[in-house]
Amino acid sequence: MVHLTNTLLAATLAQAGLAVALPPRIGTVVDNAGPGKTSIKQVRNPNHKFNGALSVYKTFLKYGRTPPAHLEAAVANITASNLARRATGSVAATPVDSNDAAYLSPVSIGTPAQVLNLDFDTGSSDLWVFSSETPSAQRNGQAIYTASRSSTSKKVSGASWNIQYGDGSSSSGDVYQDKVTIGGLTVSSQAVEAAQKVSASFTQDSDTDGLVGLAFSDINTVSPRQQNTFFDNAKSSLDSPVFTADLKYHAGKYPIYHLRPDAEGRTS
Amino acid sequence: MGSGSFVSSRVSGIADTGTTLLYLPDSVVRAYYAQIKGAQNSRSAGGYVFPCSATAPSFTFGVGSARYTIPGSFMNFGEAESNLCFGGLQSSSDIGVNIYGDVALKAAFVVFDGSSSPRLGWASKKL
Repeated sequence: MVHLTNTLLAATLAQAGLAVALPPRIGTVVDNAGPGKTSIKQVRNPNHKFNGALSVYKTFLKYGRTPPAHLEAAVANITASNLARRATGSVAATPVDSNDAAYLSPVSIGTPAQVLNLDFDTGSSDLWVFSSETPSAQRNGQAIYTASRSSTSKKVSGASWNIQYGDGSSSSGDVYQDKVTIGGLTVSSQAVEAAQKVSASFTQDSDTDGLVGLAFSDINTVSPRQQNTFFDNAKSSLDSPVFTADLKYHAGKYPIYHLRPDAEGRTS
Repeated sequence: MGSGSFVSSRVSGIADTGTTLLYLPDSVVRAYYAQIKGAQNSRSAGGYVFPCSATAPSFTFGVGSARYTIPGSFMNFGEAESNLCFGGLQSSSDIGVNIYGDVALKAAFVVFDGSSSPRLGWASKKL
């Protein structure tokens, strides 16, 4: 476990004691580091088959650029041949297969907790999830959030969200406030954006149940009132408004540290 | 790259955990793959690839005076086509922004300071 002092270190920081073994498969329990701080283990997606052309293609879309034609062609060709080789596993309904989501983290939403595996993304600011409102034709085995099964959910009346990509594909839906817990850290009223529509690439990625956006809240897409990210909401319960990303080759971890002294005044 | 000397040139970009690869300017990317015999920019694979049997050199980037080295093994994303492996470093020139995706972030311990003066901190770690 890494311990941070009150001074942010930009120089050498020795890190001892972290497991470097292959991380657990999706569905195993998350690591709770203690009161006021939390540590989230990412899990390896054993079904992942990296598709380089698709990874580059999606990066173009994410940053609002039109991918070059030769790249689209490369994606289509490679994806088609990957599907042909697959003997078992989920059946893709369309050729675009988003299998570059290699790291996912379990997140608990609602009461009782509904656990979804979400992609932590410092490049966007929406916490959105597959839901009971996502048409079954757009789902392909993802875990879903059902607001009506959570005693702590509250619909945000009139609110909607919509993430658009350069090629016109998009994800959108409505918004609930609910309790969200990541590791041992709980935000009692977090905007949970429930998908009512998702694009094909999200449908195909059976293991990704949604995203946790960790960029600045001012690019959150909820309207008419933008919503805060989980991190912005959690900040006041952290001694220092900081989260860290400690991604490992073939493993990964997003620890969020508190620097609050405990009752005896010790800082950890 | 590898054991070569560090060449200083300012490359600002976005630290994005949601992007898998490292995207840097063409000039940097071409210089890197020039170190690997048989590496090429493959239109059919969708980017730079290199022979799977090759040992990719490490890639070091700097933040201020600190240096972070991405081991060559982090640069190999598996076979893309006939014994050519997809590279972890790709060109950002058409995207318009450099992106420090997972390939780079894995080589460091990164701290996102969300206070009223936001900062990004990088620290080295045992890989």
